[in-house]
Amino acid sequence: MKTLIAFLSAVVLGSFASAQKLVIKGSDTLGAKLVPMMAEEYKARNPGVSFEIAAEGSTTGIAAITDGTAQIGMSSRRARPTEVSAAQAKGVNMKPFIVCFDGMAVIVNANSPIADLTPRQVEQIFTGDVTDWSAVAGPAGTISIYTRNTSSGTYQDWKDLAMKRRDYAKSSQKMAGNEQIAAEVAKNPNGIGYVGLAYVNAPGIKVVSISGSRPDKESVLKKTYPYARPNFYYTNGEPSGEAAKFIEFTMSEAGQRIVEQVGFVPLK
Amino acid sequence: MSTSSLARCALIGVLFLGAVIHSAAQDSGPLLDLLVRKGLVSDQEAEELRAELLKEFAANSPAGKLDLSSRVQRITLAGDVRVRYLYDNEVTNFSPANVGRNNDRSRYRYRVRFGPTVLLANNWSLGLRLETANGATSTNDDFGSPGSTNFAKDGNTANIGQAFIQYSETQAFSGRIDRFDVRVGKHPHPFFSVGVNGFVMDTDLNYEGVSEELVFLDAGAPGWSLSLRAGQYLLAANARTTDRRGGFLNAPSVMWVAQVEYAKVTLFENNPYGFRIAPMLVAFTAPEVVGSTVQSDVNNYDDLLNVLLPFEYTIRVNSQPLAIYGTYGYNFKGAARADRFYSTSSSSVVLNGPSGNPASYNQMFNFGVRYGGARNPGDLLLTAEYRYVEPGAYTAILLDSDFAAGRTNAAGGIFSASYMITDAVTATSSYFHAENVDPDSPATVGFHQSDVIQLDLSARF
Repeated sequence: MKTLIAFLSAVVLGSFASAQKLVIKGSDTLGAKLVPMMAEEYKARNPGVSFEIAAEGSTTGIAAITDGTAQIGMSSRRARPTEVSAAQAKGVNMKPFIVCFDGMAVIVNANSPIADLTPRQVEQIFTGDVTDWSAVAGPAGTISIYTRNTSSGTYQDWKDLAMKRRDYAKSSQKMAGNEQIAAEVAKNPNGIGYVGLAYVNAPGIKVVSISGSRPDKESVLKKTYPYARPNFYYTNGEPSGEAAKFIEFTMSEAGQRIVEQVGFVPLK
Repeated sequence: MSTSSLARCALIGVLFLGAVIHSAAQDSGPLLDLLVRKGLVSDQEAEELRAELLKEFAANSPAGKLDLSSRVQRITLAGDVRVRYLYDNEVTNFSPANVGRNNDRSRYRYRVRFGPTVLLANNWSLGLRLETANGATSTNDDFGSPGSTNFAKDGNTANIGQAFIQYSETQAFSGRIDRFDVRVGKHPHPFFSVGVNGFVMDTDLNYEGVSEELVFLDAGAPGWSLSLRAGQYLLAANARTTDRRGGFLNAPSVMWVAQVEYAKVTLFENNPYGFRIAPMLVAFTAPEVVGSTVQSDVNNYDDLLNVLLPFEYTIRVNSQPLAIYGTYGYNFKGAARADRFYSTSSSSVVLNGPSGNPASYNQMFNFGVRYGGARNPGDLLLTAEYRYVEPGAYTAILLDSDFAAGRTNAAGGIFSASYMITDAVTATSSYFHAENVDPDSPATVGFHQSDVIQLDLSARF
């Protein structure tokens, strides 16, 4: 009898394990390339694990942890105090894991003579205080600003990092993601935008240094580049099971190699 | 214990000591960033600390428990409480029936004003304010005015004093306008007026309608600003009646205000210095017929087309501001206005009569001197002002109600002393004395004599 119970248990547990599904929601910065590639590699090493990845913005990732609809929430920004308190009210303990860093590069059209801007000039451009390139030592022409959309964590992060939390210029055009921003700036000689490091090699654009500092692995890790930020996984308290293993894999040497391949800055 | 553990312990100790968890949670970011840059804690450790502090903030600080709408960028709660002893004595205009009649009384009063200003995204905001009392030009309620019983609360009311939506943008229209401001609803006006309690625009008034303001800095010369202001305010909506005659449109009665200000003002120790001059036009328009009722001049909805010229010049004397200010006003419809006032009784307008009647019925002015500040603790502000308002020169709707109860046909002086006990608490004493300009006016047009003493203690936040 004991043998039979042990056998049935093994079958049930085995079938449960083989049907393990990890639900990950949140940031499109992380969810566009990095996490799907990480998941593929993880699946290759752990057959039987499946993933459901929804990249609809950092806000949705943090909300998914609060609502219990995902085991891991991806976020390109920190959880806000209101989000933490809302989670606490539901008994959810929001726990952050830094999984990689990113430098947000300021890009202009490849033919633009602009090569360097100060943080003050960047603030003036994105807030609309300055509307013509001639005000920042460029050729005359109305500046076209391309930003992420409002549900993106990057949209808010850029305000915090580069705009002293002021509002974007009314004329700014909101794009769905990094690729769209790079494509628009490549088409528009008067365009300016910001993208993650993974997108700085897109055709038709070039990166502007900020008071001489260029966004790269070294400047981001040394914190000398002003527009660098960590990217996060969030869990409800200490993770367990497959979620814990996946986070561990993300931070492992193999995981961090993928981070670098995709264009983000690894933890070390 | 490792260096990073020591740093963590030290940081937690620093942040939690002094029971300022809420501010620590808000301010610890730069400190954590510095510790990370110095290599004392890792990025992950710093992140966990941030999360811990946020949780403490949410769980243990009053501010963390406050759940504000995500649409709110900032809320400013402001208000004030004032307690007042008020003595007033109004002697009605002399006529055989009124000789020797006084209205001699003491009142013990208070006012409360309280409300939020809510800053929303993209330059929008809204304002709300509750006020005691329901009069347009007063927010005072009375102590010792029993309702159902002594000390009962049914004699006290809170009313909606202000409810408005505002759009305010700096560097508007691609920087062509330095400040652009529009308010709609029941709101404080943007106009420049000088004198105790605003003189021509009683500071207790909340205007109902729309106000606009455009400001241009460095206009014409460095440091000078040009401000263009306008307002359109409903006086009476004139609801439709069933006896509408002759096809007249059911138009509202409206007050129109326009002002151009040219100024050069600098701040020193919170006090403004410089010169301001701001010509202004105030006009009423009203339908002559509303339903079956000819607009009554009792309501003052017509015969007002005033040009006003307020100015103020402030210099430093003994490290304190010394201001001279004044206003001249002329009502182009003053004679008609006075005629209407007077024709409501058996009196008639007399110019230059033997008993001291004025030479005209449409002019007004004030002139005052103000010394000291009212911005910093210990400031003493002294004001002396003379006012003169002919019977048809203006309207009781807008005049300062503390001087001759806001009536026209009044001339006299005001003396006021105000001392700032702290930056929030002020003690003020004021004396208002007025006599009529036209001694032959009917009883409702001014007073023979009016005296008011106010002793105030105010606290604001």
